[in-house]
Amino acid sequence: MTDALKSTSVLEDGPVSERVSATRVAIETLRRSPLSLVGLVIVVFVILVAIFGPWIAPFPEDAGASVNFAKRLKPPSAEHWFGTDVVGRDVLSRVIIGSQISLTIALFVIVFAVLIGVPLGVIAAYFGGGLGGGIMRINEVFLAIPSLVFVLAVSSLLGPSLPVVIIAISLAWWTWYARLAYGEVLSIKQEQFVEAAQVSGASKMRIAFREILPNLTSVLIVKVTLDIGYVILLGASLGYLGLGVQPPEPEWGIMVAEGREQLPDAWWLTTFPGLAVFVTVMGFNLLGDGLNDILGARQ
Amino acid sequence: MTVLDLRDVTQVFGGRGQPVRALNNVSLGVSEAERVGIVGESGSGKTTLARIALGLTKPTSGRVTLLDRDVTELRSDHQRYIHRHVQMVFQDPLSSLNPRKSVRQIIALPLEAQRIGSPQDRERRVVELMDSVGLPSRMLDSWPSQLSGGQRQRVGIARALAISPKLLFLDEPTASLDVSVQARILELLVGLQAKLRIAQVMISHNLGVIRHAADRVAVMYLGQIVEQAPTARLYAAPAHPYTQALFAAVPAVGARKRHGAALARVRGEVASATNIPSGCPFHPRCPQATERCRGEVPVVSTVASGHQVRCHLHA
Amino acid sequence: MTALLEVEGLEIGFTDADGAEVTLLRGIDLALREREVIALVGESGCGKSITAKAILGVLAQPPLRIKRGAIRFQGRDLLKLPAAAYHALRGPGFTLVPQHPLSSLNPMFTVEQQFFDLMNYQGRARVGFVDYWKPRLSATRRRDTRERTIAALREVSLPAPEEILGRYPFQLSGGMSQRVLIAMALLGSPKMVIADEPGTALDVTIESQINDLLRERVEARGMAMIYITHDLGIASELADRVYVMYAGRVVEEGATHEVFNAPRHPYTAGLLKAVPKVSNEPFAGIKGTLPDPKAIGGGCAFRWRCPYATAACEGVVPPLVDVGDGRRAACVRATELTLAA
Repeated sequence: MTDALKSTSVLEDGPVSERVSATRVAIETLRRSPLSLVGLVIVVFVILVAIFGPWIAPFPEDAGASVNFAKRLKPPSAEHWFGTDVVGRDVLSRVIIGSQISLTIALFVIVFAVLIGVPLGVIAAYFGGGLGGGIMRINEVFLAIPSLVFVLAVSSLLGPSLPVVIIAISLAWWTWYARLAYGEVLSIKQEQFVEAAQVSGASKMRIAFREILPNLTSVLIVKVTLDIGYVILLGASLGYLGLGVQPPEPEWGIMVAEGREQLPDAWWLTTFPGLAVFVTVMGFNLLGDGLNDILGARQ
Repeated sequence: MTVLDLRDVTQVFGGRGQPVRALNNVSLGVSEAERVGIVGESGSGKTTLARIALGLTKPTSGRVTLLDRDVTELRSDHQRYIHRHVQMVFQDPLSSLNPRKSVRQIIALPLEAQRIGSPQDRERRVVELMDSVGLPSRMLDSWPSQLSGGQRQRVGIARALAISPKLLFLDEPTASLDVSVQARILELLVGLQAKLRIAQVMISHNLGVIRHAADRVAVMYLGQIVEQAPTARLYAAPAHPYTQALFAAVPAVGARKRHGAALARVRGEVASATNIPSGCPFHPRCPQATERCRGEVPVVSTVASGHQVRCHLHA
Repeated sequence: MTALLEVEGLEIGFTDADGAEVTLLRGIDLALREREVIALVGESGCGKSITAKAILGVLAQPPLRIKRGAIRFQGRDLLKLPAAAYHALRGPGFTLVPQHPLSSLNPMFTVEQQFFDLMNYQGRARVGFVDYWKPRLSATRRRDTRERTIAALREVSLPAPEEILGRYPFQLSGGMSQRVLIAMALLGSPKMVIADEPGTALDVTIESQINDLLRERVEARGMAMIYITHDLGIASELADRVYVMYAGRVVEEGATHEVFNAPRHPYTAGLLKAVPKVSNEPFAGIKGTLPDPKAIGGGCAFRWRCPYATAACEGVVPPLVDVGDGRRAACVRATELTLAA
């Protein structure tokens, strides 16, 4: 494989420009936009809480169906920071352990949605033709059904449970990833490096998934971060409507729904789980916006 | 031996409505180690010609022969054969390098995609290529965004040379570079050609670049080769009015400022390929057009050895 | 010999992410007389476009910042002018012929509509309700504007101007768009036109037509022009005087054909040698690349790439000094070197 190539005595063209490291840009962006730093802190906090929930929670046994009527409907106090519910369970412990459920739903849904949606979007955009058209028509059918309605239908059909919630939301969610990947690939396809790969003899699959796909990582990271918040919100909505995870699981939506009957007297029953949803969703959104700036700036 | 032979190649895009006639009966041969320059403005069909030769587009009619093998049909085995022997250096050095791949990965792509050599062989080859295009090996793990325009184009050249092609297409390889860098890339290409003897087709609108990078020049206008001659001959005695107009458009460095009316330059703009003028396609802009040019399509005539013109003035 | 435009010691820079000062223009001096054509020549990153933007007052500030210097137009320092007065000068004072004709016209409006707005509201920072509708509702005004537009399009040799009036920009070719933009630039009868590589986006034969048109109009109207280009040939054909720029400084200045036939700065000589000529003369590139603006430090910015560099080149930034015959060069060895063109 060696031919007459020998050193051409052509001097190098100058130094490699000093790389603006991603970490430096990240630190700089976070410094300039304190809100995304707040988002990052919240997200890290929520994840740590979810992982170490059973050890942090003051009354971990309250996550389940324990009953302690002596303590029912106590307002927030030094012992029960978030008060207690109708059967005397500690609301703080339930909110802490509930974070596990919300994050589990979000994690699985996003993984499924990315794994289904992105390859389909890439194939539809890069291969085009009948196959691409078919994929995008199916995608549009899914998009035309409001995701909440769709999820409601699936979970009432299969009966509400954690796996069903995850499947139902994933089925509604992949379409967004297919759309995103489709649009991105359509524009990346125009770049000359795609033609260069063709001329190099790369197969279509190789071009689609090894040349083009890596260029989607930044947009996907941003989209995933923003979406985790929305999926948590949707999971909580389903729990609230009684179509998601079922009691006595400490799911935030269920807790809000259960506490609703005790309003306005026992305000802490709805306020704290509601705040948990709000803060978590907010955290992921702020972080997502920050990441958008950071990754966008590097392009 | 003829490396590439295009015979009466015609390319029409868009069947219904207004068909675009991008190439009209083009015949072009490239011999071993020969450097052919293609000159033309936008809409002349030079890009389509390259795409056909690279196996990316199938011509509407005509015949494409690569190293004695007819590859007109866009079959996958033909495409593999083309990719094995023909490579390309692209115009935009930034867009033609994948921003998510390191220099090492970019140069190795043709070898990996065509499963040539073992990983160790490829690695050796990449290092060797870096050296031959004048890039230090410490840049192997750099990203395209870290390189200057000239360095990027060197990476593009290294990638094209990776599989030791028999024919190299160069699509305006210096057009997006600064003058001082353009000259260095051109020096590199001239040096590599002298050493490797790869047949080249360079597409450019820059007559100065073509002068140094081609042995023979074909001038294209609206999908046709209107003039073809050995470089020295064409530059000494351009015969077609369009070629003459191209030369008139080149401003000379060091010339005194011109006052008053400009030299007789070509009028108007290139017609659309959907609506090619009757007769000679250049007649609406031609300062020497006659009645005959409006009605009758000129045929190719040979005015000197190897010098062909498609113009009634030379019939 | 009154100067129409004088740029003095212009310094422009910004603060980068680390808080370090980056200077892009490192003290530019320019002078343009009435009816004179000068060319700013240099490669990308030399600062020619920033200079033009600074003169037009359209610099992106922030992040860019004018640190020092003056831009005097007809004796008035533009940098000290209130925004409204500055705005009033765009049109009758100076205008721009842009680099990318196809993206410089608003795609939503026809040529006639764009001329109408320009003719009736040019130079005004704010237009009140009555002032906005008055010309639009007046039939005579509309007819008058239309006629003037046709005349303006005819002046730039556009065939069938009546037909072009109703076209949208996407219905025009690049060359036609550039002619329309030149007609627009001429509308206010400016004293000075800044043409920023007006032909680079066009085909070569069209580019030469556009340059011919610009030269001819500038002469006929008695305007002055700053022509920005990286093409030495075009500069040579168009300009009376040329300013060669490198890394944010003018390195050589003088009458065009003198500078190009007997350069006094090694960079100018290198550039001239780098152009591959139609005549088959040998050419040679300049080694290395443009230095990082932060790395230039105290010496000559060209010292890394210069074949004639000595220890003296590292100490001080060479000032642009007189080298005889009304020419100036910023090289410590300008007078001792003999450079071939």
